[in-house]
Amino acid sequence: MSTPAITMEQLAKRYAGGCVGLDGVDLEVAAGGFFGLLGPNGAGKTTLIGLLSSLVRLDRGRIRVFGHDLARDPVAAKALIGLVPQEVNFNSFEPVGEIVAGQAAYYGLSPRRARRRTRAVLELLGLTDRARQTAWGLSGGFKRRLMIARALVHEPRLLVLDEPTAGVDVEARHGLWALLRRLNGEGITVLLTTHYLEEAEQLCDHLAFIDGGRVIARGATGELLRGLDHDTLVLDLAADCHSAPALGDVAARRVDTRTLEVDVPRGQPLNALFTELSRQGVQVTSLRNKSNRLEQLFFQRVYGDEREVRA
Amino acid sequence: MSAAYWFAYRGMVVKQLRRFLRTWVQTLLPSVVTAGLFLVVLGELVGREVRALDGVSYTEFLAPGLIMLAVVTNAYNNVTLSFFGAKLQRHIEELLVAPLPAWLIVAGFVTGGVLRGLLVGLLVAALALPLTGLELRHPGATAGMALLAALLFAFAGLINGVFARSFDHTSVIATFVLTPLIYLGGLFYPVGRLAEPWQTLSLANPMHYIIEGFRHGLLGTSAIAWPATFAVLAVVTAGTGAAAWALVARGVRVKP
Repeated sequence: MSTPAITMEQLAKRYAGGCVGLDGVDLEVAAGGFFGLLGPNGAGKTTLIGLLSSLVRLDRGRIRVFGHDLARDPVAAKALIGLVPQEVNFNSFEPVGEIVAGQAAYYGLSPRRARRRTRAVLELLGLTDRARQTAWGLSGGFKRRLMIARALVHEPRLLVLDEPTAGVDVEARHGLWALLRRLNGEGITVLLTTHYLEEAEQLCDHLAFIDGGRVIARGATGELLRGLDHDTLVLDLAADCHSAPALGDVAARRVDTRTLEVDVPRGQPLNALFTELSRQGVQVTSLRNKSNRLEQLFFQRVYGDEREVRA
Repeated sequence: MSAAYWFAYRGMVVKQLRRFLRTWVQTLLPSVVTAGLFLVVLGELVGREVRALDGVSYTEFLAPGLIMLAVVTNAYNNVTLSFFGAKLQRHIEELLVAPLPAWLIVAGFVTGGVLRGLLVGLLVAALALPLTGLELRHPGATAGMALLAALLFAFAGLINGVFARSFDHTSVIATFVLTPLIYLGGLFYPVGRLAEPWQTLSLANPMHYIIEGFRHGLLGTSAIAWPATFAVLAVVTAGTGAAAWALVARGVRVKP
């Protein structure tokens, strides 16, 4: 069995003023995996990333990166990580190429190798034409690309991204997903935090839900999704409906006169549902999932089912 | 130093150099203009009315202090502002995530400050030379004193940068502590000619010893024991450097 990319044991962090960042987090990310970290705002995701990337001081616990203890052997551990933070953290007055080449130097690359790697990652992220442009003038999407280029310049084995697609348009988001899949396919372990649950479902092979500084659920994405007990479907009706029909095992709610929501237990065929709706004179013109399955699971794990129903 | 550390150090220094050379009108020119004005107004115009001090003309007497003023204020301000700017824009994180020991991060910032301090000092000296006819009496002592003073104030500037929370904090020490100490440390007058208690008070001013040490190197005249000054300055510089390293290593005001 290969050494895990990340091993976290009993991580604890409390900020000045008593705010709990993390409270006894254990987590393991397999080498070569694509791991998603989900949770509401203030759950502790960015604290966890900060501890892993040495931007936050650890109160208690232990972090190992590919077996290297971050506290005892920080140089070896840090050399393996590439970080894409949530907020812009480069010198906006420097040209794009100098920012990337500077980071290459900080990771100990020789000037020749730094130039070669800078050219390669700028090309990879579509920034070659902007190499001499001051970073200040870049759009939000290009700033994000610049931070990814900078994180990749020293060829890390672990890429850590803190909400990389926040504020990025749909086209750029899908482009980034393709890039991350490609990098993961080349053997780079990816740890991702995101608010876009569709993103996590599409990309991640393993997930952890974090809330209140604790990991409240973790596992393979498929296994976690199989844990959902029902799917919520939205039905558009052909005619007005003034009360929700009684449908046996299927809970039904009226959203408006032409829309119903139904909770179908997992594994139950839909034929019986439609037969019963037809019997009661309710004609359905179309149907769709209320939310993606991971979003449903997120609400179930973090807030409980009631919140999901209200939403 | 391993090759990786050398490349990282080189990278940091190149960034520092680019930063202050790119903005030379703000970083290099003001000290040269100020020193030039002092030399012309005080040295040439007022100095004609002043008798020789310690065997040299008043313009010659002024020049070492003005050069040292340029060296220490530029070394100090460069490190304070570049460290504070890195905190403000958060690009200090580029260094914190990288596999760099704290001493190397300190070395990168401090080297930038020392280089700017010495460069501006050289520019002021180049301006003073035709005005004063300065002769370099003790080149080794002059270079050593300038280097040590630049190092000391670069370390001190880093400490200021660590604790600064606003741009006001970056200028308070330089404006209200450093500059008065230099002006009152014998830049414009021989401290030995002051009446008591001002003479005793001036002797407690550390800048007096730095200016006099440098004056010894340039003019060969000095009111202090030069080797002792050099030794004390070296010890104080080492202590200030250790304090700067400890602050950066602990991530004070940088890591929550």
